Amino acid sequence: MSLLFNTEWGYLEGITRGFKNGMLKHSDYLALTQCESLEDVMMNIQSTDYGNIFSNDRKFSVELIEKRLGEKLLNEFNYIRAHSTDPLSSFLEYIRYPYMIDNVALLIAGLNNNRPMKRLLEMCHPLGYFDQLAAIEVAISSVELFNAVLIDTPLAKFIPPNFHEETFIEIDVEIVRGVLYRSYLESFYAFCEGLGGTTSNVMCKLLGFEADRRVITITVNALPTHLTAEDRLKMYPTCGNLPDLALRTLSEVSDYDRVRDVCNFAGYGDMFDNIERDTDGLIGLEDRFLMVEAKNNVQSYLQQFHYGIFYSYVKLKQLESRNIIWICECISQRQTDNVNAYIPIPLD
Amino acid sequence: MVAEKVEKEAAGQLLDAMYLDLFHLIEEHTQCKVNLERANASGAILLARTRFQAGGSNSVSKAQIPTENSAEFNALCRVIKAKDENEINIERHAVDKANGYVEPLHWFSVLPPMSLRHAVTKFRDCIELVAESTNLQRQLTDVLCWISKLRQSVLQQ
Repeated sequence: MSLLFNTEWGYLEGITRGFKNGMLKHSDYLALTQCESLEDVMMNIQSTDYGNIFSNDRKFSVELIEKRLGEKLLNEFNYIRAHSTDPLSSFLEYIRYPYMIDNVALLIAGLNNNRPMKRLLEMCHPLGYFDQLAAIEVAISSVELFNAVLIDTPLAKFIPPNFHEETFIEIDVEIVRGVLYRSYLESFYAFCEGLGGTTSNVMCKLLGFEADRRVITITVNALPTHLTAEDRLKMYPTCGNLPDLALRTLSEVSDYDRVRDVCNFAGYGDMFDNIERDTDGLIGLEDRFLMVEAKNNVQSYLQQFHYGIFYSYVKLKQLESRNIIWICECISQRQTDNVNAYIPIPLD
Repeated sequence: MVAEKVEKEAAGQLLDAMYLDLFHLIEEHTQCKVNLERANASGAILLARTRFQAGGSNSVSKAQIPTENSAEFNALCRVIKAKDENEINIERHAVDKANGYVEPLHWFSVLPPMSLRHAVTKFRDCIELVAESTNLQRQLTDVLCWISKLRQSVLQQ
């Protein structure tokens, strides 16, 4: 397998490992947290593997920094994608699908609120661009958008059979996105299982954790709302480690302690414990999931000749980008007490 | 002459009491502004935390937050005059979509994370603190006015 892998994808694995080695280390984060202005942050970023990404910029803002960091990841991802062959190219498309779903959700929300399409397309995530997105521009209602999305786009396979033209208007866009994302995650899981070998072992573990995380996060966020058990179940991916009984129980619970009990039983009890840091209670459940996700993604690099490193690289790079943006937000809001509340990536 | 002296002493004591009131009000007003600044800063950092946890770019709020062309809706929170005409109060309405009282949190997400809910609480506190600060400011203005009148009447005597 290793010989076969290297003939097709050895170069891309090497490139990706190189990208990963260029990610920010603990010392880089220390330097960033000690900056006093956004200009200092930008200068520090330019001395890392990011290079001279702000050379043509004069006005400094958190949004600009976020945009430039995203462009760097986009260029690296597109390079890998351009040099890949099947099944890696299909695998890389699966990495892009969540961004496509987010873009379509944005378009649905915008059309339901009578926003001009041109303006919405500018807000879309570049990793989620697909050829038909420009064609969707002519849609003037979410019914037309539904037909466009159903027929020709890569997301057509994730639309459940019980969705119809009025669904995009009747159901809140968050629930539509949740249902599409569930379909996507289960499809990705099945695809990785089909690949077999180390890719299957690594990716099924990562995707199983992602599925469980989504179930628990949706449950906790839905507690104070009027979301029905049926709606919650529609959004719960079934490819995780939580058994069906746990999913059904979580769809019906109405208090936080009960969620905690079910998660204790399933092995996620640690997520609900308090963590002592000087961060004024900013660390929440989602942050704990991010920490475990970071650790799992770093561990995927311990094995060779599998596709998981490409997925892990995108996830780790995004987490790094979020960390940098968090530091920038603290500096621009002059709340540097909270600057250490980023999620450390255990690369060292 | 004695009566005049007694009057002046009484006026002096009243002036002292009013100045004391003034200092207490200044202290309360300053504390209120500090609390307002803290609550606002907490709310802003919690919004940043929400963006951090969600990944930043996948919010549909950009397409849902009302603009000048959006349908009209009623505010859930209004400033009204209290029974004491010189003070203001905050009047809150329950969410009632049928009558135009929409939940602003739903512009951001129908499944809002905990950090966003905490940010909502902080900004609600900010509104209460703004009303409190306004009332304190009005009381300060009244006291300053009375001090000025009293000083003028004492000087004229």
